[in-house]
Amino acid sequence: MNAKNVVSPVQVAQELQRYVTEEVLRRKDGVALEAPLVESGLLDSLGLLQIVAHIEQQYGANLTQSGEPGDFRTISSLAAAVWRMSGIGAPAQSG
Amino acid sequence: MQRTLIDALEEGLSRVDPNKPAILGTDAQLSYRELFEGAKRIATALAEAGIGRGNRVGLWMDKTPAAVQALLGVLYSGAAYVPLDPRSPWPRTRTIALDCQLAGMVVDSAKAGLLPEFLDGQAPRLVLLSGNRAELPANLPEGLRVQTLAEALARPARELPVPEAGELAYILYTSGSTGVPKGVVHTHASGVAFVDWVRDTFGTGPEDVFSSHAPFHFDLSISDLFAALASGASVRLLSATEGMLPAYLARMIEPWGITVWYSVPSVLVAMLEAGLEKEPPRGLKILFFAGEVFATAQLRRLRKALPETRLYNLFGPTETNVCTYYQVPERIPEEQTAPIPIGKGCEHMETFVLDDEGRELRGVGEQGTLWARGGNLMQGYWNDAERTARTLFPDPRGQEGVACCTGDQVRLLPDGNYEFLGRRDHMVKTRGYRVELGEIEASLAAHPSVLEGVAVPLPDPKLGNRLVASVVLRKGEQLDVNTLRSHCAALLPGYMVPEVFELRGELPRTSTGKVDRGTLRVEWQGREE
Repeated sequence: MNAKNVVSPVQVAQELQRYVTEEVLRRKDGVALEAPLVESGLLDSLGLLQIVAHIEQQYGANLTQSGEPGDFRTISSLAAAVWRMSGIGAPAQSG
Repeated sequence: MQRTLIDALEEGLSRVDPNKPAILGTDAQLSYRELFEGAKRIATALAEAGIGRGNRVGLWMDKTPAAVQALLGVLYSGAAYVPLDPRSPWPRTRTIALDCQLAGMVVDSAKAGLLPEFLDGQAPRLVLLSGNRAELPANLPEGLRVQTLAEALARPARELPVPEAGELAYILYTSGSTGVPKGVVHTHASGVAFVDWVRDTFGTGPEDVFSSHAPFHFDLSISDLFAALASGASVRLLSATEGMLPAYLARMIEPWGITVWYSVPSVLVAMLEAGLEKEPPRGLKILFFAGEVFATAQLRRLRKALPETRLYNLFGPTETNVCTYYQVPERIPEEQTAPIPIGKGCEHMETFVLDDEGRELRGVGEQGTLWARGGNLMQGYWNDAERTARTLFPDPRGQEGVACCTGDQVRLLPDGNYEFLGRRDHMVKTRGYRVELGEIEASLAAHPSVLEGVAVPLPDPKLGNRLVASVVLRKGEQLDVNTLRSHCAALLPGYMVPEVFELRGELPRTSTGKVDRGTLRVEWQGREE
């Protein structure tokens, strides 16, 4: 996979937190990393699509095709999915 | 004696091995035995708090097996359940709770922190908490009785008096014109009339697995839950998150073993876009859609992708459960652009069409308002006799009994089917939800800087309608569009918040001085192109 801009899971989480807060929800107070996004009603389907498109553009990760529902639960889980799919966090192949 | 939903549920139970899975969730599942035994214990806990026949109990829960168990528990107690949307801003949910005066509540622990504010002005006799006591806030109202579901489930069930057919079973709140959601009241008799019809007409049985895509406050859930359990089938609950991932849904229908799917067309269109055609799920026997018009080109794609599946358009406002239905033919001609019909009246219902003068229309091509009568009809709107009297009438043809004016405009087709033309009032559909524009406008107008606000529906082939808003501010006021959006988002569920806002100096008017909605829409459409 063509991983872009992925430096560390913490950095991805912070960037997504900023994006969700400012660009999707247009709020001043930040969305907590562990706040349920869809089940609580914070995000609707359009907001979810917006985030998926952003993640694809920013990190080259296509969550719609390979993502599982658990990846979309919180900003933290989204960041973990981006990190996982970037391949950087995976253990190195031996041999 | 007339049947109740409890009778239908117990018929389903009697058809299966009690160890068979009844409710399958993302993280948990319940067998038929667990579901029914637990429901009776929850009913007992409610009864011990003095809650039963004549009462209403709110369910403020995510879509989990525990929520279904609680829902059945409310019915076994003799009370009516009121599903409260866990994704709606809590003040709107509180308006509903106040309107129907909840005697009890079942609440997910995720909402526990909101309870002190939420319960202001209410005095439920019992709050059942799904989760851990440790998650309760310290400042709960004094004397509030709280029990966890685990505590209720640990105690034996008592034999309780069963509800009668004429008693309330559930209240579903839909968007209301005065800014206040309205409660559609169904009795055991009207609920079971619909459930029996689904089971008998489509021949569902213990071999089936129903999907449950709709939230519990949406009337599609009545078939998903009750028709499934009454058939002895299993139900796969889809969480709100799962429901929004069309590629995931398209991929999982087959491994989940789903044989009966029910959703709004938008979800099916999204699944088509997400690859349903490439690997169509096998084993899907029946697919119901309802709630909005299915764009013909997209329905044709679905028809081709699922040649073995029986596709049905179910039609009718929440007030009638469903009143007409139509089986999609094996082939939809390539040249057809007109939407498929909404079909004919359900077998146990009677439908007819009246013109504006109240004359019955029977001629091919004539158009008028669709009326329905029969077992599926609601009892009325909760706490709103005036609105009920504007919807349920003594049969206008002079026959004995009550009929429901659906407000839907239809045309009579040569083959006896109805063609749907649109809704009479300002009710629109967006993403499958029925939205009264008045409720959006009431929230716009609730901002102190706003003079007038109009919600404008822009027809959209995928969403049904996109919602935008034109707003005029009071003289001398300044307001940022984002502030207005946040204001609406705090009052309305996400699907009702307009996508785009425009601030303008004035609104176009008709000759009678009313806001000219038609002109506004044309202006918006001109700008969008």
